[in-house]
Amino acid sequence: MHDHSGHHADPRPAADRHAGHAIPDPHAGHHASHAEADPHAAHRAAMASSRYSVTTESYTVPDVELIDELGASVALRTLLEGDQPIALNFIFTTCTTICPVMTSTFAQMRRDLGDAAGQVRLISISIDPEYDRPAVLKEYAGRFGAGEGWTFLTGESAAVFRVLDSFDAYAGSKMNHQPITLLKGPGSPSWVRIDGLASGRDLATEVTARLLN
Amino acid sequence: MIRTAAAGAGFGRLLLLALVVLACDPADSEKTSSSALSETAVEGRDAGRRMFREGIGLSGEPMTAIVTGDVPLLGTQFTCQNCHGRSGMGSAEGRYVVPSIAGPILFAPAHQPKRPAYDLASFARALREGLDPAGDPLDPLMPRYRLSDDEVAALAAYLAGLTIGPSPGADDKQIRLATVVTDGVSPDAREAVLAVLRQYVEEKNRQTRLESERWNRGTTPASRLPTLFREWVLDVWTLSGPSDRWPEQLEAYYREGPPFALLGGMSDRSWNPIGRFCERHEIPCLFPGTDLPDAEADDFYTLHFSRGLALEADLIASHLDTNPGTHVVVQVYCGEAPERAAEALRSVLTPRGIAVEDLEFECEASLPVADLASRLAVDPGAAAVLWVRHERLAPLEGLLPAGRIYASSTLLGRELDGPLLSAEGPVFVAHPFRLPGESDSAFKRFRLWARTRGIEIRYPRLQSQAFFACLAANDALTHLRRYLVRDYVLDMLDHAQGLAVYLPIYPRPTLGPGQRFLAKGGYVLPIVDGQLDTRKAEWILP
Repeated sequence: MHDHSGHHADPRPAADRHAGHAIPDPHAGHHASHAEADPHAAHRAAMASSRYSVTTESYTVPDVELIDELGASVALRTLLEGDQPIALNFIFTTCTTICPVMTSTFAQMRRDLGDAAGQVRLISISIDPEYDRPAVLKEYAGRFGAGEGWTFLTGESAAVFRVLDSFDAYAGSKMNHQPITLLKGPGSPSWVRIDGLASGRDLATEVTARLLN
Repeated sequence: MIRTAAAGAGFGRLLLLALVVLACDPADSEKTSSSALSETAVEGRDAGRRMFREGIGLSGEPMTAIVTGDVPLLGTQFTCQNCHGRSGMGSAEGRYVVPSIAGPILFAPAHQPKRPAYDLASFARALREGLDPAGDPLDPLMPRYRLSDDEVAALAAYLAGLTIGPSPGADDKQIRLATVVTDGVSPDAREAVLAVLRQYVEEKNRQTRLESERWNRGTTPASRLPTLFREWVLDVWTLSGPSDRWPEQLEAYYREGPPFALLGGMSDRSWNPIGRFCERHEIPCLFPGTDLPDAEADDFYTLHFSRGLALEADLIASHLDTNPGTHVVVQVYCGEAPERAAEALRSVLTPRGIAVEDLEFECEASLPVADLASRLAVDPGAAAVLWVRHERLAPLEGLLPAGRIYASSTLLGRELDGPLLSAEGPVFVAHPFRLPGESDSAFKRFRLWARTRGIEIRYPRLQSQAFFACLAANDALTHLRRYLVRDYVLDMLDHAQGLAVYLPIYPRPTLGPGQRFLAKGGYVLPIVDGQLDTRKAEWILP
């Protein structure tokens, strides 16, 4: 099932990898006392995105009903097998480390995609369905400016865990949560699986290369 | 650094403050007689706390940052506390480990990974550029913040004030715990629950007593290392009289011997005054046995099993929502707990346009059946909600014309296996517990534990809850290692999802930051021909 035929992320040192990228300078025009001392090279190294790996997988989406952040029932299979490219991740709203980052990364990816962003449907599935009820997800989505084209899903625990299982994303406990992003083109039988915390630009690049061309 | 300090008077003042705070024990600095500096210290630390907990900078706007290379973040999406915990002691999720940034650790050299102590300049560089004092990059998960010098200084001042312990109630020999019992609890229930707590504490101490003596017995340097083991001391705090007298009783107990944490506890009344006490003194209050948690929105210190009777009220409201047709609800109740349940239901139903009538009666008197029946007769679709105990149900047999009747599993003592009320219309029980007959391995484990210790189980729920409170406290205290910090207990339990399998009685528990109720949902089960029917049990998360 796991053919691992996909390529792995660029193994070059991060500083090289980013040499040509226009990384937004978070200090631009700010704290003057520091500006002249800002060691940009070291800074860029420190801004390195973490490593991630990409594989191509084949998954069978279970036939389950989930609920979106507005409380509407959603047939997952229908949603995923529509005519839009899909980017999917797993989050929970009270997660302390990676989820807010993954959610912000999705938002950044959408900004990086620019005009093409509207073509991709973003889906975030909660792995803490007992707590993440629609109202909780709606508030969370608002905090990250999710809006149109980005669906947050929860549901019966059993259904959510079936989904996790079928995407080989079940880690035993939400506290053992791993950062995974799944991409699928319309009508494609296979999924692109990104393990690791990719940057927004990395994700946008993967989406553009694999879903939009 | 001196050059930077000269850049602005505000930063100079805050820098001075931060350095003073770094140099001395936070407890001492609060006592400093130089009031100008103290005020600045308090100001700086309050501003730093707001940054740390809420992600709001000195300007009142959300802090901004970049994470994992290029992802912009707002303080409102993600705060220092999110990752590092309220205690600042760090956390771990999967393979991501977030280090401690409490002042005594941050502003001291570290060995894993190796780095010199942070000072204000290297702290500023870490926040802005993601480099530690050794010049090594921090993990991409650590946001790179856009902060003014004053903001860096305020945050430094706040972190410098975070403790690595021990918090009040703990020292190098003992951890003091207290359990609160209010006087409405029957002496029999009280003793049954205290037997569990005392037995657990006694065994815990028996197993570790040699360890706690070890540190000053040996002759080699290694054998004289301070031990991680502490003797547990369990105080029992009895509260009596009306609950508005409880706060002063709690304060008196606290002055006598402040506990590190409250363990379990029992009350038949609202837990709110005890919850307020825990928030006021910042004491972890672990899993009290109450059906009226009455917690407030931003409470941090108390962990409850569930929302109790308020959850049952919400289950009934959800059931009325999904099975529409009821426009009038008549509630019957006597006593504090049922009254609070009725209040909770009324507050949910009224805004939904359902007329709620309350029928309160004296607990010494019998249930006003005739009155209830006549009120129900007004509307053929009316529903009756019986917030009453088991023995009150039998006389109602066949007397109620209600379209629907609801009862409370909590008040019925979860005794649902015998024959229950039969009525013309359908009867339901709100049941925020595991289904009758469902396997409960955590409870079985407790039963065996109790049996081998000769403890009789007369109050299965209360006693097994107390046992779980002990397991949870032990788990969290062990994970604190030598950092006996109260806030860290809660941070630890937020991440102790593995504890959930040890929870008896309640289904589907989850823990997490900001989650203060283990179990979040329940069932509304129909009674068919006087017998509970669990075949179509549907899990409801109101």
